[in-house]
Amino acid sequence: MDTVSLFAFIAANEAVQSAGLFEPNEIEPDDIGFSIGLFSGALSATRYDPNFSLFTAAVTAYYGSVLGNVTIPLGICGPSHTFLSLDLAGTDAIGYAYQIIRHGKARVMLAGGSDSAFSEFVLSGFEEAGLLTRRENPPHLGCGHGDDGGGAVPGEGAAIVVLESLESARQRDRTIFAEVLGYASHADGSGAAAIASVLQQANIERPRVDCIVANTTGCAPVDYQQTRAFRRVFGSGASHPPVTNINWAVGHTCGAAGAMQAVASAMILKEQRIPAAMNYDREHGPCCLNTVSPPGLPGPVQLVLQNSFGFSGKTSCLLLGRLEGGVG
Amino acid sequence: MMNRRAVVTGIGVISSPGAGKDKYWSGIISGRSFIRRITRFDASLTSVKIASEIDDAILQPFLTQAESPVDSLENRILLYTAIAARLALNDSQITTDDFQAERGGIVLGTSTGPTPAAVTAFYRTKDRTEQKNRCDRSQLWMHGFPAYLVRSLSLEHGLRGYCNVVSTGCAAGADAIGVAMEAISWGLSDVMLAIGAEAPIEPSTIQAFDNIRALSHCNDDPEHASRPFDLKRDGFVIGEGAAVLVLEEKGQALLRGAKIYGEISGYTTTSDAHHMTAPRDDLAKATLAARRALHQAGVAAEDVDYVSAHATSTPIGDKLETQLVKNVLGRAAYKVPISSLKSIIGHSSGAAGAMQAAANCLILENQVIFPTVNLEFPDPECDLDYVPNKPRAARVECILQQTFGFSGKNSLLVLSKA
Repeated sequence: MDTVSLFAFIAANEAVQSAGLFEPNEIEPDDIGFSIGLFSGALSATRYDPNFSLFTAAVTAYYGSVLGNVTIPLGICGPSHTFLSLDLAGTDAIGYAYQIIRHGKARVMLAGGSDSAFSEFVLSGFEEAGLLTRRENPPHLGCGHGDDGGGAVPGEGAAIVVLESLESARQRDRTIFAEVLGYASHADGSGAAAIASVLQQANIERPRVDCIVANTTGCAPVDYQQTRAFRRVFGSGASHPPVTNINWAVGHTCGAAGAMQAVASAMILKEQRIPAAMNYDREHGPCCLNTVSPPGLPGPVQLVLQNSFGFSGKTSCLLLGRLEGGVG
Repeated sequence: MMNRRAVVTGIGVISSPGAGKDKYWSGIISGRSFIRRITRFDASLTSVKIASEIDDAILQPFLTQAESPVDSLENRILLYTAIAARLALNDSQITTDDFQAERGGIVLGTSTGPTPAAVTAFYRTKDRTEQKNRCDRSQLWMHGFPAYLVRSLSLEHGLRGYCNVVSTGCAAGADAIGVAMEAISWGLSDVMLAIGAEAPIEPSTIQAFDNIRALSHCNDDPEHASRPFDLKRDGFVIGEGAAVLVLEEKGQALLRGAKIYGEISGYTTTSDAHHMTAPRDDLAKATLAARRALHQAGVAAEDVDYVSAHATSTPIGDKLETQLVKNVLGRAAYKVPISSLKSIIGHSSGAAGAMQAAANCLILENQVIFPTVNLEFPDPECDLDYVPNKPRAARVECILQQTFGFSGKNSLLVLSKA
């Protein structure tokens, strides 16, 4: 099994245990699907052999192999998909799973992202494209908004959430971390259309958003663009919700990034506090957002907007809300 | 919202018979195979020496502008998706006035995408350190990701809504059509380009498929190498190309007076959860997918007029697919015509499901079924009506399309006359 599949399996297995999906008489395997986002996926297993073959194990390392590597050991038979929308893939995979459940095509979806930037092709490509930081001071790397750290710090890992219809989760009397209220994805370049559309979908007025979990890469152009989109939607005054990110902690996890954000968003709603975005250089910060500084902010938090904006000129958003009386 | 239906209003295909749906259709009803000796690379590198290639001469007329910083004939999948998308949009006669840019999207299905071409080119420039080469290398690197293909189409055609890539192995083409259809019926989008594309004719991919013993070794008789449902079948032959369907919300398509080929009325995918490459013997999950897809389309098994088979010419696959048709259709299985494209244009992995869907739309239009070529020696375990070797006129209003991928993926579509 390649690294990316292994990460995905470990995370999916933990998610399944945590939701008690396989406890006796719980849920039929046919009603459980799997939706995962990848950036490099199979490329993480690529080894270049100039004499002949690019892929030392091509058939086990094509992008779709993660499907078998997760569905076979877990024995789940519902709808399964692999999405490859670069650093938005995790968000898109969860957004798709949300739609699948909303439209009754599965009762439960395991959804998230898995990735590793640590293969020669992926890492040297990031480097070549000028996307990586050149700093050598680990605690101040990956600063996200405002820090001119010069680029991203690559990361790796997987995050998988269990999405389930509300009816089913209540019937099983399970802890509900959060409710997904909307998903939108637009290739509009500016980043504002998807945010506006996800709020409109859920019928939410802008001031009600309590927190934004951004995908801050540390690459100035990407972060500026995202900041501009936030301003267009929320204005630049006090009505701008606090913004936090997790990239300073785990690096840029590529295809897993959106899923890592989703787990952070769900935990913010469950724990009712907003963690700080560390390493944000307020003095020199060009992004001037309402960035959450240490030690973070207390609740209440009812609504979290998760925003994924990346290198592809596309934006994908999820809106997560606290379910009253749902957090056990 | 549940009443939003996705209809097909445009078809674009680039494949070994040529560019455009007319060349495609005349190719697949011709009763001949487009499989030949490999000319793309030195086939002494691989033990398999046959494939269904798209000749450079077919591509030349489209090379009027630079498609890519990579030698344009080199990053072939970029060229295939660009050509097929243009052909499909032309065929649909849709213009940017007919829909809002943010209500138009793209779903690409591909197995390996541009990865092999871009990785090869990337490493070829490895030892250079000049600034220019650094730029080239970063371009090449971007081209290694399938999302890049979608981004370039999104920019070219002003489709700024829901854009994505699904990569589910050989089922990807069918899944792309399914996900695009869902985007329309769930209200995310009004117009979608659903694309299946693959350019796997290069030594490493061919060798990889050969390593798992999936390929035919009939190197001396390329035109008869792929023979779905035939007793002498010994594996599949690789093909390539792209097929694009323009899907539109039905109300909008009717409003602008578009020609409608048919409706994507059902889509379901399931996993066997059994084996990385081998299908499940009892076909339980494939049968489940077919039943769910027919249920979604609101049709009974007796209503199916034609089955579009995945049938790649592997000994086990074609036998199990025959059994699947019997499981799903019951006694009617013996009366319903079935055919497979694989002996005509090869198995184009991530493009195959979209190639099938394009052919199915043309069957609905022409009321003619293309034949299963090279079916000469009947296999007692494959005893259904496979429309051998000659096309057949038939009344076809409802089609069940079966597409499968590694990891035990069963993706089933239902196409109906709108």
